[in-house]
Amino acid sequence: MERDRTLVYAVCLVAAIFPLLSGEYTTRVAIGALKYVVLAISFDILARTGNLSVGHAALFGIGAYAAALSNVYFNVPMELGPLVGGLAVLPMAVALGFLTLRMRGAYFSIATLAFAEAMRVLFLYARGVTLGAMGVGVPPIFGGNVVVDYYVILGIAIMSILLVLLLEKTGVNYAFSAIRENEDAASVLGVNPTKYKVLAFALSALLAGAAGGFDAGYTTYVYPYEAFSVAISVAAMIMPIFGGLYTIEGPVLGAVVIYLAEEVLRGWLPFGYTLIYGLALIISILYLPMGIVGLLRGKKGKNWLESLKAVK
Amino acid sequence: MQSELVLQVVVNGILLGGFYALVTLGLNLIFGVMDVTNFAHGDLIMLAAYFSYWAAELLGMDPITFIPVNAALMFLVGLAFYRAALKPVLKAPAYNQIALTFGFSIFLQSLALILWTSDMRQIEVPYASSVLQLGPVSVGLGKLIAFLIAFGFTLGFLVFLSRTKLGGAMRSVSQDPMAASLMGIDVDRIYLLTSGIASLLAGVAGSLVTLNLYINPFIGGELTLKAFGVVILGGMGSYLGMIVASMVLGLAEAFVGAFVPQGGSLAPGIAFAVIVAVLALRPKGLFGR
Repeated sequence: MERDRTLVYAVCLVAAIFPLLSGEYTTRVAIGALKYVVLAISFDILARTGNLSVGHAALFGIGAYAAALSNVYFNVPMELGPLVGGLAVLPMAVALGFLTLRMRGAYFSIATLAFAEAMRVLFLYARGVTLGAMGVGVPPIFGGNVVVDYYVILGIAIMSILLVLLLEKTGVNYAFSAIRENEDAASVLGVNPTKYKVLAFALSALLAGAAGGFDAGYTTYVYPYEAFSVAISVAAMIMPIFGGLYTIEGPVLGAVVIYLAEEVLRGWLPFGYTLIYGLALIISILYLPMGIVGLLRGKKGKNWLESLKAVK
Repeated sequence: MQSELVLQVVVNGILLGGFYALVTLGLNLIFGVMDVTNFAHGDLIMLAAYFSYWAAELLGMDPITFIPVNAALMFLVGLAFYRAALKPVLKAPAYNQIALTFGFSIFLQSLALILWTSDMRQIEVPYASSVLQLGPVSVGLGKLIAFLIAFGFTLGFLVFLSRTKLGGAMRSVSQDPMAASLMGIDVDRIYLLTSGIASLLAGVAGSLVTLNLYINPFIGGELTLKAFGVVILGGMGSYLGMIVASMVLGLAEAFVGAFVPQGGSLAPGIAFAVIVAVLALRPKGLFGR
């Protein structure tokens, strides 16, 4: 326990001074990783209620478009992008939450996947508003200062972690897992599934939308094929699964490890670097039921091979 | 003039619908027999399309004469797919099934990107682009052939399912694996063969894709979603519902493409809209069990 705390402090310290120690390229890599940390936590919050979203890019993309379009039409500064993105997705998420409430298992996943694709088609089609495939160009957030950008996304990531801590502190996560394990039983025991599922959807959307709103100003460009790309949905899904679902450190670890692996792999496998995603997902399901976190935790307690057999 | 255009659009829609039925068949079969939603179904079709492309490029084989070989190859792929992707999660919760089959979807897609890059590929088949004039309606020969073969295989499979001993065994496993196993049916073997046959049908669909469309490694995802649209509209595991829903989807796409301004870019979204709308109203599909 004591060692854990020291480790956490060390990680915080490194994160706090990272851009001062490193060059622009590594800071950009760190920004990319932190963006996925936020998305991974966002996915994990929703997954805690037993709903596996395969279309998380929808929430991210709407956030990005909300930030960009409010800048273009109403001159809202891009510095407010994360806030605008997060808040804009919120009502949509509540509506989606109610719509998908009664869907279970694969049906929910199919619906989210289809929703993200439908959004892409819609944003491509509504050229009059969204400029279609051309996309929307916006001024860079904080004048494109990489160090400031780093602290902005770090701030969003920290808030995401604090949000999960808050859920665990207030016991809301128990309601989430009760619904995940057995929704009918949970509702008999007085847990209102509707309330908690919509809450999970809203919080998840808030984070994904904020990440999207940040990304719009960071990349200075939003277009449908990128904002609603399957690649973002896939990353948001696989990183927390590989890291370890329903934990605080799992999504963070998964996002950082996979993002860095992807960054390295991209160099010598420019076309098939997504292989890392497929393999990470397959390995997680077949051999690492609790992800990296399960592996680390298992080693401390009992032999992780044994805990593996127990799960199988 | 207008009625001739409508007739033309109806014919196009039906031709497309027949193809969608075959695209959906394997997905529907695996769901019906094993109760597993296979997110990698479209990627199996994509893989078969590239086999067909390779046969044409390297061996100079026509996509249609290559169909039996492709079907056999994909049958073997299906056997391997069962061992690797379906068997480990047969009894597992939906979460594991979605994640594992989705993992294989990305794996196959990435493999295709490495082997064939993201370039659009096409097989030049001279007869496929020729057009038949049937009264007021003109029909592309490639589309007609694809429709006839797709529908032939779909009907052939349904006859196989209802008339043969193996088909009967598959049906009984789909109804109650426990009872089927007590009746002396080797359930694992039936699952294995079901996966092989589903993949074989994907192989035929993949061969037909290359007749009419450009292919790239990403077509699998779109085909999977279209197939989901069809089964959700027609009912997971229902074959009659599947055929009707395929036609509805094909016709809807043809009509939107022809009559809505810039409908060409909107048509691919119909399947997605159908999925979201139907599931919002009926969380287990229109005729869900």
